[in-house]
Amino acid sequence: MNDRADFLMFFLKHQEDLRAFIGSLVRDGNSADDVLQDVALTAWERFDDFDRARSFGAWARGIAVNKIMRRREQNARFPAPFSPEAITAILDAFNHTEENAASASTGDLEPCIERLPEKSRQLLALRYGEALDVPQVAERLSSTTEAVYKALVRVRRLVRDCIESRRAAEGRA
Amino acid sequence: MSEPTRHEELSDRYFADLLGDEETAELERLLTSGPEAARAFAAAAREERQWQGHFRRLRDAAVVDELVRTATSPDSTSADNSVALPAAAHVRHRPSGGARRFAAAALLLVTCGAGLVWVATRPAASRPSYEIVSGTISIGGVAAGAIPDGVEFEVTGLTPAVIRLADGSRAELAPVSRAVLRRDLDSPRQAIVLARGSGRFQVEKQQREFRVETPVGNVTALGTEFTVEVRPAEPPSPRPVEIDGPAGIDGLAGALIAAPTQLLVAVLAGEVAVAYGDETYSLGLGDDRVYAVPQTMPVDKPDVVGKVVAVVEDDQSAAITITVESTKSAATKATRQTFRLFDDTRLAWVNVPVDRQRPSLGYTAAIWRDRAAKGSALAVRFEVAKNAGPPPQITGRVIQVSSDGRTITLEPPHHVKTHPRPTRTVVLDPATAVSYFFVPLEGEQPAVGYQATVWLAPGSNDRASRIHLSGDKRGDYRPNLVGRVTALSPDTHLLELATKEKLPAGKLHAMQNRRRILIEPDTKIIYEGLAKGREPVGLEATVWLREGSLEKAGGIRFSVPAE
Repeated sequence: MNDRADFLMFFLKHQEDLRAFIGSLVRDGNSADDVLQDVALTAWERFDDFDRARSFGAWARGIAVNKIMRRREQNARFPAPFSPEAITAILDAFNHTEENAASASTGDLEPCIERLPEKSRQLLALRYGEALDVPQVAERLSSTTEAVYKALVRVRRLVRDCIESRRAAEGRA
Repeated sequence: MSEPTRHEELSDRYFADLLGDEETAELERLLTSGPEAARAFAAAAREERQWQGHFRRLRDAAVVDELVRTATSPDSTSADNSVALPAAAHVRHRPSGGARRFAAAALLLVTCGAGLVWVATRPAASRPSYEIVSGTISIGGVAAGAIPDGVEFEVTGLTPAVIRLADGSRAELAPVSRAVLRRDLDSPRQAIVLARGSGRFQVEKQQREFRVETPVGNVTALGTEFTVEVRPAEPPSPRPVEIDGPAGIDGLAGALIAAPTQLLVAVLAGEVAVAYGDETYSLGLGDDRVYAVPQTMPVDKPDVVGKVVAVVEDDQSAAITITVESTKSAATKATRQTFRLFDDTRLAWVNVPVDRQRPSLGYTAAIWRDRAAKGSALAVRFEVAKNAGPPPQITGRVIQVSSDGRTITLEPPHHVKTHPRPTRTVVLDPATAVSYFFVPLEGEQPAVGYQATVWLAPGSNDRASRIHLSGDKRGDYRPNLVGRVTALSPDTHLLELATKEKLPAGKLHAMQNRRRILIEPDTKIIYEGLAKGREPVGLEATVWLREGSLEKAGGIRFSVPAE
């Protein structure tokens, strides 16, 4: 396998988790995408330096942290609200729980969403399908932000419990 | 179900973008106080991403909306007219029942069989499908052996996918490109809707119309070959597509693009027309252009509208501070407010020439405050009034020019019906500011036939302080290109220009283009206010091309750029 294919394999495998990491630190979708793209380029350019005995995810997250810190330094309004200490804590947490990312599968979501009442599915579709923020969902449903937020938390918890029980039943927990 | 801990609650609110400053500080303290909170935060982040990813895949499959729409149509419950589908390993059958029930269930159907139900609602017999000559195509995450008409697909392999269209035209799409092939039943028009990525298209000559539709603009071709790429507005450098070789690094770049905002078109043979905004641009052999989507402005009313009275640029913070003066009514006193503009402040320009699109004194600024950062602007729309300044006193056609060129006689516009038609004599002195528009290469001097617009000097009834002289807008006098000279070949026969072309008002970005211009022995060259034979790199060049040529210059005028 040549370097490029190798890199592609690593990157595609870790891309979603890297998105999760960057998205947790950068609270604007476009800015987060910019950082991800930047990380991909740097990772590709420095792929020769990557020690294959290490985790590619941890390596790429390290690059991402540097990119985010740098952007914060250059632009005080860059939408990364956490201090360097908090970012480091989150980085450590991601690095120590990388196996959770590997075991997470969106395939588990579907059967659990199927069990939800229609209203709950509609709520999820508005929040994530149409990418509306919570106040916008509230407006769409003629409800309050707090009510929508609480309903979303409740629905997500239901789905989480459903996924866990399915995994337990299948011996994957 | 156990009650959430405080850090879980704060994490949930954080990902819902509902945390205030105090709660953010509290979450920070918890994150840094021990691994438990940070790990819970990481779990919440991954879950958030999982939700986003799941619904993005549904959305990308372009099914949800269609399902909801078709669910309300009378024949939406008929599933008997499905077309043959590629390797649809996870096809599920829709439950029968009311439209509402179907619409809800449909959201769940699409994960594995994206596009399946969508296709099922169309008449099967008259819809073409398209042959995949090489490469790997997926529909809704399932590998496909052919591409049904109207169904979104993605190039999933590491190499480009070559697709043969019904008339023999070919489309070669780069990895990770996402598109829909569509042929209207009542017209021979073939459309490729390119949502992401890039492609090279070879169009058969008998094809009546072949169009590539992108989020930025549409490219229409006839018997030609061209490439189209959709990419973000400010790609980082170096771009991965510059890497040679067969493996899909360029595809990877495509995978990372979330919001395509630029359209790149290059014509390899023949001609294409690019529809962008309200305008259509013709591109010929060798042309390559970039079209960019203007930044969207807020839809609500601006917070402040006023005239820019001060502009301060701060190199260190890369911010620009503008002060605007506004009055609520004639009776109230003007107020001044200052706003900072950063590189992510959204800007729009109305009636401002491309080369003057920077915050400037005198512009009218409509400002939307950034609620999250006091004193900062979220968005600013700059405008130059269409009729800025006092109106001209005299307009008319030049019917006579004195031998020294200092006195011109004008006849009034044709709508002035008096007899005899009153003529006006206008004197141009050294202080008169004279501007020429649409005049020949060496035509920058008063001449019979030009249209004149005259502003008189204060207190004078014949001496011009400013005059605009205009040739025939439809004539051949208009230069074909204006741009900055970026290179000159050692033999001085070849010039490279970076051109910018003005876009309709409100479009933020100029089309930028590199043009190669051939200088021939008889090309007429004028150095405006410059020493003859001066090194042209860096100068502005106004180019008149030879008829029928895209490269050969009949004349070039070099001048010092405005900036």
